[in-house]
Amino acid sequence: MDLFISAASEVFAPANLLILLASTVIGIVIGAIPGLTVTMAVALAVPLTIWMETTPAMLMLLGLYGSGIYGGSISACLLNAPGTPASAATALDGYELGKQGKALKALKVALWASVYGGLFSIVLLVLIAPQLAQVALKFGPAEITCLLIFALTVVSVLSGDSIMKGLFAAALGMLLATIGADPMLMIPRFTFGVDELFDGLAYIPLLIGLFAIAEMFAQSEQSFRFGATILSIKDGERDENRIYAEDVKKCAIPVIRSGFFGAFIGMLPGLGAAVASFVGYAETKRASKEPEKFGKGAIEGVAASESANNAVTGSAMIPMLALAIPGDPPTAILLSALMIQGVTVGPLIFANNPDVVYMIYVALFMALVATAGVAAMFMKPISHVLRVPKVFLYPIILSMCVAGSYAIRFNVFDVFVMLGAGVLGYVMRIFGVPVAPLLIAFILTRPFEESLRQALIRSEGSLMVFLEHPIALFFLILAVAAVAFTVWREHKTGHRIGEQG
Amino acid sequence: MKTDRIFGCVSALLGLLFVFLAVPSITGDWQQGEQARYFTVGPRLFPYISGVLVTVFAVLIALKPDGMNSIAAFLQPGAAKRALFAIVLAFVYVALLEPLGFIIASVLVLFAFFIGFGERRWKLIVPIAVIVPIAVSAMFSGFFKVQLPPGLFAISF
Repeated sequence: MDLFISAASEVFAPANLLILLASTVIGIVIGAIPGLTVTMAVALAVPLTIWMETTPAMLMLLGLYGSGIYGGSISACLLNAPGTPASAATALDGYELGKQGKALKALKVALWASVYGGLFSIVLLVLIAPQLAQVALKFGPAEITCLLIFALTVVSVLSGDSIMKGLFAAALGMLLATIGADPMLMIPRFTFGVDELFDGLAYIPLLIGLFAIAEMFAQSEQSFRFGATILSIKDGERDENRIYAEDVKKCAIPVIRSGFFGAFIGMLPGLGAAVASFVGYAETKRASKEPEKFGKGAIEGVAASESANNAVTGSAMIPMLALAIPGDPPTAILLSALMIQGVTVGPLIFANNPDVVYMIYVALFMALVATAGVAAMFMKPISHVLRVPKVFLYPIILSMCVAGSYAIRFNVFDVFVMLGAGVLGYVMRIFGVPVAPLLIAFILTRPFEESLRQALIRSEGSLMVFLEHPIALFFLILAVAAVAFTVWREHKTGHRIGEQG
Repeated sequence: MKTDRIFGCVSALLGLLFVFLAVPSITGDWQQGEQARYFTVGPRLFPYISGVLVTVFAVLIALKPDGMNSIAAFLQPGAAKRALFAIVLAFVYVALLEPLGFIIASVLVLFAFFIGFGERRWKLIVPIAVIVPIAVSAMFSGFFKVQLPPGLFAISF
């Protein structure tokens, strides 16, 4: 309890609250603009946090993370283009409601469903993360190696539409992570005499490049133009945009059920908010007595999608905090930000830095409160950002990316790394290769290599060490099962598509 | 399908070059030292594993293409040209960063960016191209105490 009070007193400092409020507004705005994602917002903010204390730094990042996913629902309802991939399912019914003059109602329902989903996931985070960390404390190098094999496999096979491309991306991430001094003997690998490469490729320029710069290159293909009609929040009768008891009754069960699905999906590495929102939406449609109304303006479709995608925010942090395994790109970036702050994430964080853990709990909760407050009060003005031409936004983002990447180590080399990562991310996008497995594999490779080599030193080179430890063997079996299941599912889907011609 | 095959083949070739040319360039000196007794595997193991995995998965992509890619959008008239323009401009920006300084390089690149992508609202683009770099530089130097490359004109805030 003392830790909660101390964390709350830090978060409630006026300067910190101001940072949280500002990042919440920026998060909603960035989330609302199609093409600017939550991941990009968090990635852009990381360089700014380097010179901050841990509390304001995490408040800024969690404010962006927590609010950005809700922001995506604004463009989903008004533009029929989700601001973030996580809101794609929201657009199915949200835009239809907008066309019926009920955009404000859709946004209100989206907001309260998001708040429920977020709150539910924070409760799960507080309850589950410490227990998981307790279990993880018993892991030795062999168990950690196999856990990381499992995490890398699951991230790779579940992240994209193609299992092979996901695995390829993860392997590429591992390859890039081998650049720099090897972690055991400090022997340089692929540094080509460049001093800046001795410590390896810096995380932040890499992730800014993969997510922000690659997105800019992709948007430049269409000259940053978007041809859809923007609906106005002012359209429609006032009475039609009120939430009535009947609406609450209609949405309650879908919101609760989708929150559960979202939280569960968030805990699994590699799936993320976009998958959660579609699963929540699909399950609500399946359970509905009127499934034919979905896609034509069913309010419970909006509620289910938003509850599910926001339930990912807290639950994705469970494996990140307890096992140092990020579930999706935003949590991978949060993990890097904590490392920059000198906080070692993993099971020991609950013993060594409990203050940081409790601060994260409180910050996530406050980000949710701030999102609800800002969105409820400023929904109309925020909706106007959709009219800002993107051709003005991206050069400004480029300028921020260049400044942020330079500022990390004060060298232009890192800025070139950022651009290189941007080109790589763009090429991967063209060829349909998911970027998330690359980033997560890049982050996990160093601990993976360390634990694997430690395990092999202990076993004097025998690979049997991974089969003799029951927990290690369990994770290996899970990894194989995950691949087998995904291959079977792809095969079955291929057959079904073939049968349907 | 053809796109995936080309992508898979090129990636597999690069993977093979990495495995057979780049990885052997890592020094094997550690095996001569006293520490070799303790270390059962050396610094080449992980690069080998990752290089082999990249090659294997690239071959599998080439053998079993799924056709899920965005090449169609890239091949639309003018799309590749516009993307290439953005990429070249971004590299020019970074190349100019130290010689000209952050502010001047940013003003020039932002201006070129707006013009290059067909924006002609001068009353908007001129102030944005000038104010944004100054504001970003002021934010980094004033708030975070980080001096971005001053280049030709060292402006301090």
